Amino acid sequence: MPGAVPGPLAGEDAIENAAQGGLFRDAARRLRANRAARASALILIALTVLVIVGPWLSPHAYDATDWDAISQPPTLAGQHYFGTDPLGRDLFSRTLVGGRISLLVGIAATLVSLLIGVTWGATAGYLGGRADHVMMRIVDILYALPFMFFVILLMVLFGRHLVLIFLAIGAINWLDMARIVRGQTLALKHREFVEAAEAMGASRRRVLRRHILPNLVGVVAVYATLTVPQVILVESFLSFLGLGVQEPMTSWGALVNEGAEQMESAPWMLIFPALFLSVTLFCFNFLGDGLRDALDPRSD
Amino acid sequence: MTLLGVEDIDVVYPGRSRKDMPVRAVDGVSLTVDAGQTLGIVGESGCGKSSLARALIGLAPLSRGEFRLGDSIVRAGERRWPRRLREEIQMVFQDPVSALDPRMPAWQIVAEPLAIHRPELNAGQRRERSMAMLDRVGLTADLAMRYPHQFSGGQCQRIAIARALVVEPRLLICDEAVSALDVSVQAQIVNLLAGLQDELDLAILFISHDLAVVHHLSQRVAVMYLGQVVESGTREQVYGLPAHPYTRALLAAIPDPARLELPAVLDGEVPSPTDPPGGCRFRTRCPHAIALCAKSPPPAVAVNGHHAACHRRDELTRPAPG
Amino acid sequence: MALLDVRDLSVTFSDHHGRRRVVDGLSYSLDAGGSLAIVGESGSGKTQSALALMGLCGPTADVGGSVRLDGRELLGLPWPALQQIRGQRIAMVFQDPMTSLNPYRRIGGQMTEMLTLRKGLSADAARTECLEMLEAVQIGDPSNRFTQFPHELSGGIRQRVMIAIALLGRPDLLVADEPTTALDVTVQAQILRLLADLRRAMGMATLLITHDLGLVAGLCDEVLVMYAGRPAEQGPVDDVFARSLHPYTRGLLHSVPRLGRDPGRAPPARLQAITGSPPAAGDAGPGCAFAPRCAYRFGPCDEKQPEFAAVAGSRRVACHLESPP
Repeated sequence: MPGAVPGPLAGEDAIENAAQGGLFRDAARRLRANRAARASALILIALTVLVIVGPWLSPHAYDATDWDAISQPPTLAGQHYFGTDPLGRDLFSRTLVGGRISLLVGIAATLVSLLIGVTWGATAGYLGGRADHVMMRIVDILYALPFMFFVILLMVLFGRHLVLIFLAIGAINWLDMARIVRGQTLALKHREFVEAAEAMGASRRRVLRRHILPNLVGVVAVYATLTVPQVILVESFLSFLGLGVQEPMTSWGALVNEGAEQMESAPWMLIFPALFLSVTLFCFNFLGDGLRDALDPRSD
Repeated sequence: MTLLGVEDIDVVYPGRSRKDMPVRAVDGVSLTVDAGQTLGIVGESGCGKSSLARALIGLAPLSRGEFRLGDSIVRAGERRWPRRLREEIQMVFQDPVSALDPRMPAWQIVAEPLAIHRPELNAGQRRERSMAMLDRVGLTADLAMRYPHQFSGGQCQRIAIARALVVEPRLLICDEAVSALDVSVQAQIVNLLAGLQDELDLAILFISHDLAVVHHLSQRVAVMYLGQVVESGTREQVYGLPAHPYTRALLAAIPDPARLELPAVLDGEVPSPTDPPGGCRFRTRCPHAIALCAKSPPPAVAVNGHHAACHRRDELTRPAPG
Repeated sequence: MALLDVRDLSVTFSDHHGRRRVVDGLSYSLDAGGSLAIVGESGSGKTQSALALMGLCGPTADVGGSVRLDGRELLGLPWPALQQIRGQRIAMVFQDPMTSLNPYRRIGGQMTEMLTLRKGLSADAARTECLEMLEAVQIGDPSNRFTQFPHELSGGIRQRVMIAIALLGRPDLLVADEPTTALDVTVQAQILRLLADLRRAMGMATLLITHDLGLVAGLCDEVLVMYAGRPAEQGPVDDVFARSLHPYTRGLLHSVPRLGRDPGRAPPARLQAITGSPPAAGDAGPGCAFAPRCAYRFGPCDEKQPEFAAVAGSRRVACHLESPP
C-alpha cells in the first residue's frame, strides 16, 4: 500500500532491509488479523480487477450510443445492467471505465504527494533550524498559490493530459503531507531514542531512515488512505469545470455530477457511480485505520 | 590512570529568540574520571549535570574548553568528532521506555551501535553479539524478539545498558539511569552496573540527584550547583566531611526510612541559570553567607585533593550531622 | 468513630482485554487528625485506591466495597453530592502541580474561584482568605503571586499553591498523591515539613500516597504497604520499619541504598535487590502476588492468597510464614 513505502530514502542496504523486515512482517500479520481491514483490501482488489477487466466483458462500449435505449432504467433484458444515460450510453461500462480513471488518479496522485511530502517534511523537521525555516516557507508560498490558477496554467502550457491531472493534484496535496510529517518529525526528534541514536554516532541519514521514518509510517498510512478519496473528489471537481477528463471519457466524479443533474428523472445515474465511489472511500478509510494499528507494535 | 579529562568547559544554549537570554548551563567545569572508576555527579535540577553529560556525547553545545578521552581530544567549536570517541563514550538515559525505538525488537536495538561502528560484521554476527550482550545484562534469548512496550521499566533499562556496552566503550555515562525505576528494581540495575564495571573495567560517570545511590556506586563525587562544581573529592571526603554548605544541606535533605524525624530544610529554590547571583552562586540560599560571598566567587581550594568552593570553608567545616 | 473507614475496597477495570482488578481487598481506617501512608511501587494500585475515595476512578472502573466518611457511605453517591465532599471534606494534592493548574489563568483567579463559587463569598472576602492561605503555606509576597501565571512560579511554589488551594475548603482529610516526586531533594524537604506543620496546625487527617519509604517516617504515624493491588503489611511506622513482617517490605527497605550514621564509610559491595519486577496491576495468579519474587516462598504461597490478618499489637500482614523472616 502507498503508506507502507517509507519514501525514497529507504532500502538500499539489503541487510538493513532484512532487519526491518521484522516490523513489516509483524505488521502484515496484524493487518491480516484485522477483519475490517482485510475485507476492505479484498473489496478494493476486486474493484480494481473489475474496472480493469469489466469494460472488455461488457457487451456495450462506454462511448457507444444505443438509440433503442435512451435514459433507460436498469434492466437485465437489454443488458444495460445499470441503465443508460440520456445519450443512450451504457452506464455499467461507463462506471467501470470511469473507475479506471478515478482509481488511477487517486493512487498515482497520492503516491506523488507521499513521495514529495514525506521526504520534504521529514527532512525539514529533522534538520530543523534554517533549513526547516526555508523549506516550510516554500510550502507556505505554494499554499498561497491558487490551485485553479495553477491547474489552468499547466493546461495552457502543456495542453490537456491525464498526467497533468496527477501532477497538479499531487503537487497540491504534498503540501499537507509535508506539514503533517514535519510536525510529527519535530516531536520524534526530541524523543530520547533519537538522541540515543545520535549519541552513538548514527549519521543523520541513518537516524532519519531507521528511526524517524518507521515511526512516521502510522500517521502517513492513515493520511495517505484519506488522500486517495480526497484526490478522487478533486478530480471530479476538475472534470466538472471541464479541466479534468473530457467527454466521452469519464470518471466517477464526472458521472456523479451528471447523475446529480438527472437525479429526479434518472436516479440510477446517480446511485451506481455514487455507490462505487462511496464503497471505495469507505474501504480506503478502513484500510488506513487497519494499517495504522498494524504498524504499531503496541497493538498486539 | 586518568581516562577522561574535562578542562574548564562551558555549555551555553543560545536563546530561542532575540529577547531570550542565552543560558550558561555549565560554567567552567573541570573534572577527571579514572579508568575503571566511577565519578558520581550530584545536584538538583538545573545544576547543569545533564548538560555536562550531553556535551560529552555531542548532544549539547560545547561552548568553551576541551575534554580528552585517551588520545582523542574534543575542543569547543569543533564540528567533527574523532569517530573513536563515539564508540568509546556511551550513555544510558533516564527514561528507559522512551530511550528505545518502539518499532524495533530488543536484539535490533542492541545491534544498532554495531551496525554503525563495526561495519565489518555481517548481520548474523551482529545479531549474535547482540544476543550475547542481552544475555549478559540478564535478558534471555526468548525475550530478544520482543518490542520495548512488552518489557518492564527495569528490563528496558537493561536493554539500554546492553546497547551502550555492546561496542565495548571505555566510559559509560549514566544520566539519572535508575531514577525512573521502581525502588525494588532500582537496586537490581545498580547491582548490574557495579557488576559490569568490575567485569569490563569500565569507567562510569554516574549522574543522579539521589545522593544515596551515588554514594553506593561512586569512588569519587562531584557536587554541582548552578552550572559549577562546588565540591569534589573522594566519596569518603565528600560524604564524610562535606566542606561546602550546599553539600551539607543536600545530605541533610535525604529522606531516610531509618530516620524518623523530618529531613532538615534549606530555604528557597535553585535560582534561574539565565541570571545566576553574582559572587558565590549559593549565597542566596546559604545560611552562612557573609558580605564577602556577594563580592567575589570563591575559588575552588583543594585540601588533600578535596576541592570545595566556599569562602568560609575553614571555619565551617565540621563532621556532617549523622 | 473513625473519620474515614475503608472496607474491602476493590477497583476493577474492564476493557476488551477482560477485567483487571487493580485494587483488591483493601481495608483501613483513619481517625480525625490521624495520618496514614500508603506505600507501593508502580502497579500496586495505590493511586487508584486513593482516587476511589473520591469517585475519581473514571467511568470504566467498577468500585466495590465500602468507603465511609463519618459513617456516611461515599461509594455510589451521585455526582453533585460527591462534589460537595470533594474540596470541602476531602481535598487532594497531586504529583505534578503544573498539570493541575490552568496555565492560562492567574493564580488569584484559580484560587478565589473555589471560594466565590462554592462558598458564595464576596470577591474581597475570598481574596483575603486566599492571601492568608498563601501565607499559611509559607509563600512570600502573596499579593504579588496572586497576579502571576503558573509558569512564572517554580515547581516548589506551584506545589505550595496547590496545597493552599486544597486547604481552602478546610478539609478534614488531605490526600497527597506523590506530592514531592516531581521536586528537587531540598524542595521536597521543604514541602514535607510544610505538610507536617499544616497537619498539626489545622488538625486534618493526612493520607500520603508514595513510592518512597523515606518520606513516610517524618510525616505519618501509620503505614500500609501495597503490592499488586493488595495490602501486604500495615502498622505503626517505626514498628514496621524496625521489624517488618512481610518479605516484600523487608526487601524494599533493604534494596534502598542508605547513607546511615557514618556516610564516610564504604557501602556494601552489592545491594540486596528483590529479583524480578512488580507485576502489572491485576495480573496476579491464584497465590500470593509476591510469591514469584519471594525468597521465602513455600508450598501454600502459590496456591492461595494469604489473609491480611492481624498480628501482635496493631499490626496486620498478609503472609503465609508463621514467623517473620
